[in-house]
Amino acid sequence: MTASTTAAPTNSIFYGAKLSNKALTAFTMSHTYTTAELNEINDAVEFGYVPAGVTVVGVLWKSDDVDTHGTPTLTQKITLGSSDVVTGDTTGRAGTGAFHIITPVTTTAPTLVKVTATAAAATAAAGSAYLTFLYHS
Amino acid sequence: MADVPFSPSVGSLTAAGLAPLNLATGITFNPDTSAINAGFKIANKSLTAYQLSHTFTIPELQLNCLTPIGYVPGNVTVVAFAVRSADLDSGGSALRQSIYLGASELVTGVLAGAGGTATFHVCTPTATTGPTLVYLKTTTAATTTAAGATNVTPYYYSS
Repeated sequence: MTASTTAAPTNSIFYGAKLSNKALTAFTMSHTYTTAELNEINDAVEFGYVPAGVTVVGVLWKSDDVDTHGTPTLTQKITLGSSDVVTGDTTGRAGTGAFHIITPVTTTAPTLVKVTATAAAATAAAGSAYLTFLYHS
Repeated sequence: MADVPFSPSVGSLTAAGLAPLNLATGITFNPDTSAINAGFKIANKSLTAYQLSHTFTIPELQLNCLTPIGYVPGNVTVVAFAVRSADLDSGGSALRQSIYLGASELVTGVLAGAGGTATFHVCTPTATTGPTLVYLKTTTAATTTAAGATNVTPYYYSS
């Protein structure tokens, strides 16, 4: 089988706002997973875009339990552009949330956010996930 | 638009999310209408936080009791909560609490009060449509209940 890639929605609601001042801001992107988006290693879902000219400092990741196996295996990474800003996330195994402080990344153009399975779910289940980036101009 | 401080009043308690919750068991305590327990809505999309505080009495920590801590303003999206609590379980560490935003249980298994610690909880992002109460509910009673202060800090941005 071949890993799937789900393209980012083109609706502008999935683009974060850039503030005119230096205040920390946040923007939530969401996706409802299908089992086909979790059952192969390297399954990837593009969530949306972070605006240009901002520095991303943290990620809030909240997921339903999308690996219902008794010994879940799902492991995911979060990629901003070409940078893996979060690796080894296991939030989707139990439907919990995680706050990841990342090495700050400054964008120079609208930058794609992608979540990739680095280990496939043992028993993939449909469910929702929410990705909130914390950034400042 | 300027930042909007929210000063709750008794008259606003019928707004969305402020109606008393319908629980089969336990006690729902009256909300604190003091303005000090109401967060601000920022005019732009800045992430903000506001510390709500409450000093628990022993009756408020009985199983299934639902205690209002304060308000989140309308038209914001709540993404996380920080909880800092005194030790409300002086005889052990059994106490567990849930955080409700209006009628939605957004966080379960909060154990800050079980040992007098601080915890941070990422929640399902939830948008408010009106001033909305934040409650703590006792889901597992303390071994030995003790009175003490708890701070709950919602993190949110304007929707």
